[in-house]
Amino acid sequence: MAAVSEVQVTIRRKQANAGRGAPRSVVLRLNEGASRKRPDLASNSTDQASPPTVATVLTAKEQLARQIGEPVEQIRLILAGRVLDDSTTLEALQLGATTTLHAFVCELDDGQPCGQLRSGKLRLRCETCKSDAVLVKEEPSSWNDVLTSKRIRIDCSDCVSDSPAFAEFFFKCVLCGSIAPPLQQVRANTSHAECCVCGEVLNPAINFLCPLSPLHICCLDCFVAYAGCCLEDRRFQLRDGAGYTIGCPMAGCAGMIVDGHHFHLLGDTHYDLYQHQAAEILVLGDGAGVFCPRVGCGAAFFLDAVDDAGAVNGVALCPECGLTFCRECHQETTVKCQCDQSAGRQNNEAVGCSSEVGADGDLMRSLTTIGATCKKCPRCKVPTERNSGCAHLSCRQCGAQWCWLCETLWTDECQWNHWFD
Amino acid sequence: MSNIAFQRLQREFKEVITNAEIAQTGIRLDTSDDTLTKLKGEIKGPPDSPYEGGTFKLDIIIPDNYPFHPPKVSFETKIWHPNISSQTGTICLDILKDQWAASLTLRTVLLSVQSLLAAPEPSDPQDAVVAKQCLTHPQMFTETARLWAQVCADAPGERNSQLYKKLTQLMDMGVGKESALSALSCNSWDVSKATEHLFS
Ligand SMILES: [Zn+2]
Ligand SMILES: [Zn+2]
Ligand SMILES: [Zn+2]
Ligand SMILES: [Zn+2]
Ligand SMILES: [Zn+2]
Ligand SMILES: [Zn+2]
Ligand SMILES: [Zn+2]
Ligand SMILES: [Zn+2]
Repeated sequence: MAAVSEVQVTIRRKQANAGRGAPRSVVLRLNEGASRKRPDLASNSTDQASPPTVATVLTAKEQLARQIGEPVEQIRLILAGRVLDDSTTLEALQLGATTTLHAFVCELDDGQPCGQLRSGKLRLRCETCKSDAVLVKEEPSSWNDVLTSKRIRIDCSDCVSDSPAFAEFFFKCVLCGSIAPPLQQVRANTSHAECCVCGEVLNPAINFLCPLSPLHICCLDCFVAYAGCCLEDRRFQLRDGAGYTIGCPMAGCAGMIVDGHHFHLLGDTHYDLYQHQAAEILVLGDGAGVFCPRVGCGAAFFLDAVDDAGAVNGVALCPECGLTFCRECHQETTVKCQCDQSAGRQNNEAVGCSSEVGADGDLMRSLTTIGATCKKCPRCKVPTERNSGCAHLSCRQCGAQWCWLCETLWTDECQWNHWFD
Repeated sequence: MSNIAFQRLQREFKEVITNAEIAQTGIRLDTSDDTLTKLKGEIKGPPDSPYEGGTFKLDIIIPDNYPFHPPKVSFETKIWHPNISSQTGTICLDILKDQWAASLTLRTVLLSVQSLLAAPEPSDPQDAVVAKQCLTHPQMFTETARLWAQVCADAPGERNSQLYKKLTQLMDMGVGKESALSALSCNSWDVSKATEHLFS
């Protein structure tokens, strides 16, 4: 039988607020594109006159996508109430001249977000009543207009109140239609700047919004590697206005990532780690939190939330690794710690005093050795050994920068006193 | 090694090899294997320092997550300097630790090490013995550092005959050049103290 070359398609839009908009009809020209797509599969065609083709549902969808200007991923073709499989050949469908196909263009609101970096469509609605029947009085002209509330006035036809109405902007993924946070620091590299890590000129790139230079940019691959490494090293820091974040990779630059959503680019595993660490840092920032002092554990938790017995004998219990330690000095212990009575030993900075306590047994000796060569991180109290000669240390456990001489967090004063002098 | 690291290093090599300014400052970078994880650096001792004209070899180890972690750089050539261990060659330099940034390169590192030779920071010591001498006996420090550069790094110039005599005295007893230098320098060039130090 002769293959039909055209078929009538009725297109509907399927949206969250279903039912809006009338269906429209187009004539789908079936053979266009199909021959271009799969010339290798055309050998079993018996009709020499028509172009060699095995048209499938997929090729038909691709053609339709071109004709109506919608992404092919969002189109569903339906015949006799069934969603057609992409690999089905049109021949197998036995389309006749009078058959009408149905197509849905789905905005996949109810589906899974695609989880990828995609272009977004800027959408707006009324900030008060959420209606999208609105007209803007002025166009947004900057990121601030779009991201900050009450910047752009609108006329809202659904609002009952007379108070001035404002636009609320949001972004939809062009691919999956999900509402997604905009990554305003992923920008077109219009100045053709080199990635400050790998030196390639790539597009788009991460812009750290640097006060020093607009050319401090980083390609996406390098950003993912850089941020992932900083995360594993606990080099993220709490910064004003940006939360738990990292700075520009250029030396001495104050630029940074100002919105944590950018760390979604690292993938789910790293993003979870990011959120976990950020929560820990907030626990500590509250003043009531502690870090487990066991090297490699480093869990952060609130003291009062974990251990009632601790209130009696001053012992804390790590909810993650089960270590029990003194609430005051963070030394591992199962019984009430003697640290308040032996403050002198805790401040032991003497070097090479092991010979003096040689007779006191192994325990005393090893304690003294630790006391002599280790000091505790002033933030998480993990014992730290100085492995090189200078005073500025970075804690492997909690990321604190601290001073070996002052035993406090590293300050500008330390920088001045022990570095440049 | 990651792709990023490999790509970066290839670029950095081109920079060091082609940059004419670097030929002038006396910086070199060589590979010791194809993987680019172990490199050899070389710097010329800067003018107006006790290290002037010496050729100092450096071991450079590139970590897996370079350039997000700093390279590990140490002196292979023995050197007498308050911020460099006279025993192990370990360097105390801010950009090799917490002040490292991914945008810094091996070129910046080598130039910074070179300027550390020109401007020691005895108040932030890597080698306490050297730092103490540098602060309390600057003249002896300069003479010691110069002799080390001449003996270990082929620095030109007249050798301090007094110190060199003491050195040969120890070497005649069968002590290796570097051990003899080290023992004498750590004992304020007192031959009997140094001998005691070596043989007790
Ligand atoms: Zn409204
Ligand atoms: Zn999407
Ligand atoms: Zn890059
Ligand atoms: Zn910057
Ligand atoms: Zn723990
Ligand atoms: Zn205690
Ligand atoms: Zn810490
Ligand atoms: Zn300090």
